[in-house]
Amino acid sequence: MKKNLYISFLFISFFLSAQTDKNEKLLTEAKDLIYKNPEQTVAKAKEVLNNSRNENTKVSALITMINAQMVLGQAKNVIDNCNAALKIARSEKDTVNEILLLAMLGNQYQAMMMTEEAKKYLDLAENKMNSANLPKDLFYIKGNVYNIKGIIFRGELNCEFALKYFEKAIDVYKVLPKNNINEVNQLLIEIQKGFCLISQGQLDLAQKSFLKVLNENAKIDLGYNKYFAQVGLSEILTSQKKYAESLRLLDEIPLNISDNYDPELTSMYYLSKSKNFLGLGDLQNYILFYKKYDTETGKMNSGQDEIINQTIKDFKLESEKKSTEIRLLNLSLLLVISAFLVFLTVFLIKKKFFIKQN
Amino acid sequence: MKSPTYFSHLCLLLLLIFLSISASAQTKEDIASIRQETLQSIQQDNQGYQKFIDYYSRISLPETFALKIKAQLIREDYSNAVITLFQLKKMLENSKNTSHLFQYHLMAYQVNQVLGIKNESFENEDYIKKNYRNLSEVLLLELAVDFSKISILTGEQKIKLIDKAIKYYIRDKNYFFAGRAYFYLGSIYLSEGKIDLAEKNFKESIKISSQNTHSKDSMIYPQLGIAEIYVSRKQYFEAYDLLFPLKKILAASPDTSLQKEYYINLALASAHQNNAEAVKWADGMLADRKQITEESRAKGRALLASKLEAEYLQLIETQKRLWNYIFYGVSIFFIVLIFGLFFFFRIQSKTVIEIKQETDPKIFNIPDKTEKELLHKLNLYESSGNFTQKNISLKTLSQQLETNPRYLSEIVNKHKNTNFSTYINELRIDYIIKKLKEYPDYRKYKVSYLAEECGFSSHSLFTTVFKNKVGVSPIDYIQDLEIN
Repeated sequence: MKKNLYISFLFISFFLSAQTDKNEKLLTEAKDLIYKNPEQTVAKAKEVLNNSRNENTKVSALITMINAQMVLGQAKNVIDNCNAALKIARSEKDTVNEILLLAMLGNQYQAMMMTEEAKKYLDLAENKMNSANLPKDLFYIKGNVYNIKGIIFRGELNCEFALKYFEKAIDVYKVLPKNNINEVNQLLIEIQKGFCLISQGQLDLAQKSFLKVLNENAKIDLGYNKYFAQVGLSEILTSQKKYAESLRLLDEIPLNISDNYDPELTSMYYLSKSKNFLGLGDLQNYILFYKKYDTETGKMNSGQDEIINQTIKDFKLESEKKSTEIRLLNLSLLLVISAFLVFLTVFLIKKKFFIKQN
Repeated sequence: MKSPTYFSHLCLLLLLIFLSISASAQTKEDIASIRQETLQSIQQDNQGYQKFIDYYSRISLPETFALKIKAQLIREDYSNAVITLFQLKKMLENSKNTSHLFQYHLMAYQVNQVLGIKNESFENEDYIKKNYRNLSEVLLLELAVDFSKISILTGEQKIKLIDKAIKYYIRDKNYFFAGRAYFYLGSIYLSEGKIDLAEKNFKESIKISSQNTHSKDSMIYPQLGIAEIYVSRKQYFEAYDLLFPLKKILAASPDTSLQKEYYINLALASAHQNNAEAVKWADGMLADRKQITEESRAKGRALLASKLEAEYLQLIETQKRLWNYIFYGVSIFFIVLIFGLFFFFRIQSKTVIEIKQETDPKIFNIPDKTEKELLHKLNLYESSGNFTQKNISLKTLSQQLETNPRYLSEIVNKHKNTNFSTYINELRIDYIIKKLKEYPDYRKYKVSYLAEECGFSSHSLFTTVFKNKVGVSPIDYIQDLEIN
């Protein structure tokens, strides 16, 4: 569900890039390759970053690079580059990019389930947004920030707050000029909203949200995300004790298509199935699907563990690298200074000795 | 009268020694007893364990932190476990107490493992593997949240350690840990598929735990183990019969992992008996528990990640600071060295001046007698005309006059009011002037001959010196003589 958010961030980066000549061409090529060949995107953006003397171009290159690194799942690089770009944006008093980068940082930390850090950056972005006059075209950022905040609150089981933010995000997207990205984002938020409404017992409203998603899906392709809405609808049916109907709805989900594999969706699917079988009194199938759900949850947790693990590993490696660099640099500097001072001391001694001899 | 006094003093002294020995033994026993009570309450008492921890903190603060982490891990309070772990780390920053350091690494290993931070977990694992044999082995068993699942040791090593621990606990009548040790054995055998051995040890654990006078709640662990065996043997009825009465004790247990295992087994046993109500109850409880666990785990993991990140940054900062100190140190050292040398030379140059003053021939006091003798010899030398010899130096003349160069130089300076070389040159010029005046033939000679005649090695030097002394060149002087 997050890929669409990346598109929104990417769009901003497109919009803001007022490049010239070679760098512009290279950056455009880099952006085109984000999903096809993110490694190439990183390489090209790096080239622009190294060649450019213009600070705005540098920020644009960094944002492009961050988008590709988000696709590659290089959390540490995303954080580092966001911070580097943020520094430039702040020094250039580029509020729009500052807000965008704060939002990206919040998004990255949310993906890593580091919600406190995520909230910190999103709050900063929100405060900036409220004080700065964002051009209407850049309201996407606002929508994204509200959306991510809603997701965080939902993850913390605080659906009351989450719903408020989802509504705010939808309101923002509604005033924006109609385009595919806006429509997709609105529907993704409807899915999140629907699950929150289920947990609050507002089944009718939840059903409305999910049905909206499924109806709109005919016009806007949501990809595998539409199945979340289907699982949501099946959960409503389960709550209404319509187990067979719920199972029929779940059976329509082509879970075995490898392109559709999403551990979150799969685990939700199995859990929903096990609940329905339990409701039907088919305890053997309940056990079967519960075990599958358990396995998928394990995979999902391992995946999240892996992201954090990699980030910590990268932090450690970088700090070791930095530590070695500092040691070597300082050692060389110390040697040079010591040699100079030794030379100076010997020179003074000799001079004095020479004077004394004369 | 004196001997009974000595005797009573001796008795009093012996009594005091006896009392102090028994008091210290009593204290050791008391501490061990409080520690065991604390460990037991951590495992079983959801509410009251805190007071034991508070009490134990007066005995050993680092170990209390380790115990606190264990309690927090059992209760899946991961964020607080992370916070306590970093507090313990800070507390042991400069500690060399191997037992405390071991405890820290063991707890760090467990926290990282449960939160899925593999790298950190491996690093602590290495430390534990290297050090656990050097310390009390039961420490590993006692501080582990679930010793049977600890990956530091192989199954064989764990069994060996447990066998030793059982003997130790039975001897100490520590039925709580003896029961737990048998439970761990059962769990290890169960994971290895040795069902009969597992059952035997679970039963032994129940038997031993029943002798625990403090609480029999620990029996729930092996009971759950036996229920799992029943489920694996498809003896669902027996499993259900064993599990269902444990519902109340389980609900009060602080061990959330145990609760989850219980709900899973109860759901399985109930499902195979078509007891849908019991399955729904267990399913609901399990879902709630899992949600809380996941939320706590995510928070704990995020906190651990940000603490580690902050720690790495701190390390870099500390290193930078350390280098700054080194630079300051080196700079101060050289500044001190240069200043030291400066002052050293100043003092030394003063001494040199003083020595110079003492050794300077100008300041020398030549004895009167020597002065007169030398002056006399110098007059003789002047009248002898030996100064027309070439290559006369202060050294050669002083040797000739049997004196030292300093004395000779001093005498020339003092009595002839000139330096040595000017003195000799003037003697030579006077000599040649006299010859030119007395013997007209000399006026026909070339200047170079005249120079050689009076001892100069070059005619140019002769001309210069002559001009300086007389005011005109030798040729002009000769012409003047001819005219006059």
